[in-house]
Amino acid sequence: MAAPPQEESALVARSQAGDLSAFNELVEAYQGQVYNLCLRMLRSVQAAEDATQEAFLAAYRHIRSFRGGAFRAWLLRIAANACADELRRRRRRPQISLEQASEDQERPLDVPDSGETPEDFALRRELNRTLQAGLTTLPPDQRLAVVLSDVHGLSYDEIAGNTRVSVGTVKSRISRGRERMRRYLAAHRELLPETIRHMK
Amino acid sequence: MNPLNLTQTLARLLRPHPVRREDLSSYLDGRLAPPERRQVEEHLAACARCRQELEELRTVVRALRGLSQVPVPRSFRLSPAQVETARPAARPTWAYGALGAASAAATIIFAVLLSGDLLTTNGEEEAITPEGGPPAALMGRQAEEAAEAGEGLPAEADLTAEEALSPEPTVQATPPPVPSPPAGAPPEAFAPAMPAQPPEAEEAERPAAAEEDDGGMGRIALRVGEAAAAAVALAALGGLLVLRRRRART
Repeated sequence: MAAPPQEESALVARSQAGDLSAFNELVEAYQGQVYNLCLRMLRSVQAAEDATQEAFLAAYRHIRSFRGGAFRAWLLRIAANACADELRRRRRRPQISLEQASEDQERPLDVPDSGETPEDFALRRELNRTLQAGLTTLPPDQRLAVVLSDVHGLSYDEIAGNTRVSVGTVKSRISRGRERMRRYLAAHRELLPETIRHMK
Repeated sequence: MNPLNLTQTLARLLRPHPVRREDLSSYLDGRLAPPERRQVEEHLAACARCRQELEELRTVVRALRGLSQVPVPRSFRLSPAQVETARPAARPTWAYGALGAASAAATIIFAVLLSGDLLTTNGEEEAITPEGGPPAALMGRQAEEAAEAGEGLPAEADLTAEEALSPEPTVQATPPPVPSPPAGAPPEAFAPAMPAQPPEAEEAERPAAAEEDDGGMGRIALRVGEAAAAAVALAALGGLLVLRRRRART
C-alpha cells in the first residue's frame, strides 16, 4: 500500500539524502506495482523479478534526479525502461524468452484470496490468465500504454511523461490496444466468466 | 432479403463512419472535448454497432481494472551491499566536455581541410584537365555513386539517431585509397558501391595515377585527413548522444 503523500515526500527526501532504510520503505510500498508491471510486460516470473530489482536499484541510484510530482509514476517509468531493456535483449537473443516462457508456464501466479471459494478462485485465475494472454498479443508500446492506463490507473498525461510521447500518441496506443484486447476476448469468450461472455 | 433493403443496408455499412474507434476509447475515459462528446453521443443514439463496441470496450477496461495483483515472490528491499555498487555515480561532466570539444575541434579541422581541398581541386582541374579529365571524371562518378546510393536511403530512414551516428558507420567511412567518399554522404550509402567500381572508371584513373606528382599525393592525404576528421566528429557526437540518452533513461 502506498504511503500518504506527505509521508512519501519525507521518505523521498530522506532517500535523496542517502537514507537506505527510508528508500526501503518506498520499496515496500511500491514493489507490488513495479513487479506486476514487469510481469505484465515480460510474462516471465524470473525476468519480472530481475527487472523489478533492476528498477529499484536504478531508482535508488537516480533518486536525486527526482524533482517532485508523482513518485509512483516516476518509479513505473523506470520499471518500464527496465522492461524495455529486457525486451530488447530478447529481440537480440530470442531463445531466452522461449526458455523463460516454458520455465514459467507451470508456475502459479495467482493465489486464493481469503474468503474466496475454490470456484471463484478458479474463475478469477482463468480470467486473469486470459487477460494476460491477451495483453501478450499486443505490441509492447500498446501493452505498456494499456497496462499503465487500465491496470495501474495512470492518467494520459502521466503515461505521456512516462513514455516520452505526446498525449495524442498515448490516446491512440490505448485505443488500439483496447481494440485488440476486445477482439482477443471476443475470440476467446469461452474462457471468460459469464459476466463478460456476451462479447461478440 | 428485399433487394431495396439490401441496398440500403450496404449503403449504410459503406458510409464513412462519423465516429472513430479512438473517439470511443477516449469517450470512455472522459477525454473528449464537449463538442466531440456531443457528436459521439448523438451518433451512439443512432448506431447500434457503435453502442455494442462501446459496451465491449467498457467490459475490457473493467476486466483489466479488476486484474488481480500477483503477490511479489520476495522482498525487493535493497541491501547495503547492493547499494554499495549502485551508489549514485558522479555525473561524467568531464566526458561531456571532452566529447563536445573533440567534436567541435574535429569539425573545424574537417572544414579547413575541405575548403583547402576544394580550392586545390578547382585549380588543378583547370590546369591538368581542361577538357574534364580524370579528376573531374572522378568527382562526377562520386556524385553519381552518391545519387545511386541515395536510393537506398528510405530503407535506412528507420535508423534511430543514435544508430545513425554510432561509431560503427564511421569506421566504414575511413577512406579507401582512391577515391575518397563524398563528405556529406551517409557512410553505408557509399560503402557498398565501392567494389562495384566500373572498369572504365579504373582506366580513367590510371593516367591520373601515372601523372601523379606530389600535389596528387598531397590531395589524397588531404582527403584521408578530411575523412578522419569527419569520422572523429561523428564518433564524438555519437558518444555525446549515448551519454545523454543514458542520462535521460532514468
